[in-house]
Amino acid sequence: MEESSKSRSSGWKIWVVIILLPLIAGILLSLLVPRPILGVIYFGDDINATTAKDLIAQLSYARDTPDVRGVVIILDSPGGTVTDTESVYMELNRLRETKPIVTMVEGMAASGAFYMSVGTDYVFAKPSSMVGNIGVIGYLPDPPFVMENIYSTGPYKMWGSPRDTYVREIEMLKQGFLQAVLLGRGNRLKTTQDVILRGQIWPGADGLRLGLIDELGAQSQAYDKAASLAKISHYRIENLRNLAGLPEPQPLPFYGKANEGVTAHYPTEPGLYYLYIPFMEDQP
Amino acid sequence: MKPIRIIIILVCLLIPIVVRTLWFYQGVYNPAMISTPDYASLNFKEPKLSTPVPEEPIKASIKPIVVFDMSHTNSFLFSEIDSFTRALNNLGAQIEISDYNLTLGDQLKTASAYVVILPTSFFTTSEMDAVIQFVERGGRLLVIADPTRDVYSDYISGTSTNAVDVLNLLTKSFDISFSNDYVYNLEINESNFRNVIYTQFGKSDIVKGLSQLVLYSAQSILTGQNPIVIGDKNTLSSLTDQGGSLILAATGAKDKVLAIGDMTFMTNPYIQVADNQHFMVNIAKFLVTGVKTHDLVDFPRVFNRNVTLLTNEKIPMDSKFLGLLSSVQDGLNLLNIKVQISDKPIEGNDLLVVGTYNIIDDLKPYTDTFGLKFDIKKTEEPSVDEMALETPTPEIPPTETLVPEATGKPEPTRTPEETVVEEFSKGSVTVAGFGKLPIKGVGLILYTPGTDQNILVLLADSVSSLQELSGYISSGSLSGCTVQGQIAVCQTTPVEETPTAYPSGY
Repeated sequence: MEESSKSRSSGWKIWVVIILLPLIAGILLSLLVPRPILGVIYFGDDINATTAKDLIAQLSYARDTPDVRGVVIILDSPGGTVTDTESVYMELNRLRETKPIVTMVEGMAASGAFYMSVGTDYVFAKPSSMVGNIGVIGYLPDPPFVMENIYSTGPYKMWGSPRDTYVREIEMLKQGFLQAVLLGRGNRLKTTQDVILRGQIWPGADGLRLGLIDELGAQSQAYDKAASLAKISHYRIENLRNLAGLPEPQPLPFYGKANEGVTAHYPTEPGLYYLYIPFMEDQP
Repeated sequence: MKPIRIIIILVCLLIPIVVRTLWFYQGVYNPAMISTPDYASLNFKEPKLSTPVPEEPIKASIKPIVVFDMSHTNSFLFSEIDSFTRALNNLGAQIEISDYNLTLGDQLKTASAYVVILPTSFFTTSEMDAVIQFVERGGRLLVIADPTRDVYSDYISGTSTNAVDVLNLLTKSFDISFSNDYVYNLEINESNFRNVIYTQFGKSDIVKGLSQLVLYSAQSILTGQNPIVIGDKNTLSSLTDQGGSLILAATGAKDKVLAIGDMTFMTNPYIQVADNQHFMVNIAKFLVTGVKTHDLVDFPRVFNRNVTLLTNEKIPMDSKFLGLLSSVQDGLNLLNIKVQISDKPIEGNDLLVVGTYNIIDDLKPYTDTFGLKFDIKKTEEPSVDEMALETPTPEIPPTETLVPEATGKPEPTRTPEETVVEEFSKGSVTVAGFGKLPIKGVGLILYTPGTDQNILVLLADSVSSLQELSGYISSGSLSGCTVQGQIAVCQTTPVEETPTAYPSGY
């Protein structure tokens, strides 16, 4: 009796050793398997040097952090400068090589912001969000002139290029924008080049009909879509700005260089812009 | 340890890990094929450049005057159209800018063409009437709009004026109006959708020889007249996003009015593109080649050609008459009109006839149409004027052609030439509308406009009075004369009084 009781006790101990302890150990080890993170980038500004730098920092963080399995960009932007838009677009494409990116258009994804959106895997919008405005705006410099007190070594040293060159560069950039849209949207685009090159901005519902976006939906659907593309579930949503340790954005006037404290609502410097900027009376 | 136990341990160890992993991760992200634009392949589109148009000065007998309107808050700088003004100069035109000190009617009296570019303050009714009359008499009118700069805002009053509104009021009489739009072409353009390439042209010398024209943002034109630059089916209006034969340039009023919806094409560097330069030169030719019919109100700019100053053998070529000729010549030279003195009309020239009432019969071919009726009593006595002022001029010997035959009446106090010039201190002339006028102290200026020849007749009671009449040419107006139709009646100094070299209105 005693022997059998001992052997039962020893058998129980064995099972504890070979099942329970490994299970506990396994559970403890499984905690090392990270819960996937869906990084969220809130971008509600125009695309300029400062905001683009912030965006790129967040995208880089997402790319370099294995736990971040996908990114959702909550977008509400009229676009911005050409170079900064291209910088962000290229970073997006680089990130897409390893992690899916979904765009959720809140207020608008116009011009440069739409350029950004075609560099992502899937685009959501609200029915009344504004999307499109594909094209370029150029604020031409003054015609070259010379001044008494300033000397330069060539006629365009101070002006960059002839005014006419700006016009031609606009056309060249438009072609680049068009290519980006065609490649980004691919066969999801349901309209012709003629239509999209008109520079029109459409409500999300029309954008869906034209194939400029993929779906009308809520932010939560965007998260789900990103998770679906990343093949993850039970994810954690994190603001990439916080994860990347970036400070809260300071609203800076992009358009206005604030001459004498006055903020203009349009670019105050000559240049080329992927920008949706409805005409205002005080524009030059 | 038995292998089975090892397996169980491993399974138990891995199960939580696997479960947790599968709980979070259902697969591996499969990236879509990512394509980005081939930025390196993008390049500038350079336009086809214009072939320089050789300069062909037009042999106009009179330097045509082209007046540019700068009095209506025009939205352009004169320097911007330097290429155009240079083309006009090359064609022999004289360029004038509208003068605030003169009425538009007065300025257009001397003009061959009037150019109105982007006015943003309204023309008055009298100004519009002056323009209409100017065109009716053959003056050329060029009106140019441009959608890139057609609005003038007055920040003080808070109002703004659109050049299209101003121009349309001016051009409505010619069945031409500008649309408040811009045209664009997304299919075929010169580097930008608003820089449209045009290859369809109407029938007009203005577009002769053009194969491709580029307008850099243009307003379309509505007209039932003669369209000369027409957009293709892909050229659309911003108002409707519809196209189909939009008109960008048109002529009206029997090709005397030219309306163009773009100014930029004639500025640098766009003038060098396609056939733009050619078009601009054609426009310049259009402006300088118009033949304007004149009225006497245009005096003294009543000639379209060089002038033959017709002399009469019965008027001696003495110092006084030479003074008259010199005065006329100087006055017309000031108007860039060359004067040839001859006793016969010269073909291709306009005619200026000077004569005294005593030779009115010889001047009938030039005065008949005016229905003048003379009642002249010849006086045998030399006038005070002649007696006091006319002295023989031995340094200028009379020539055979200039010295008429003697009348046979003894004139002991006069030279043989002077005897020919009879003074008519008594008598009258009946002029339609004026009634009966004494010929003493009254000069008549008669004008007959014609397609091939304009004729101006100066009539007075003496050479001295004729000199006074010729002074009106120098003074530039008939101020002091009464003008009715093509007849002006001017007061001259009666021969008893001390004559003056200038008209009373000078």
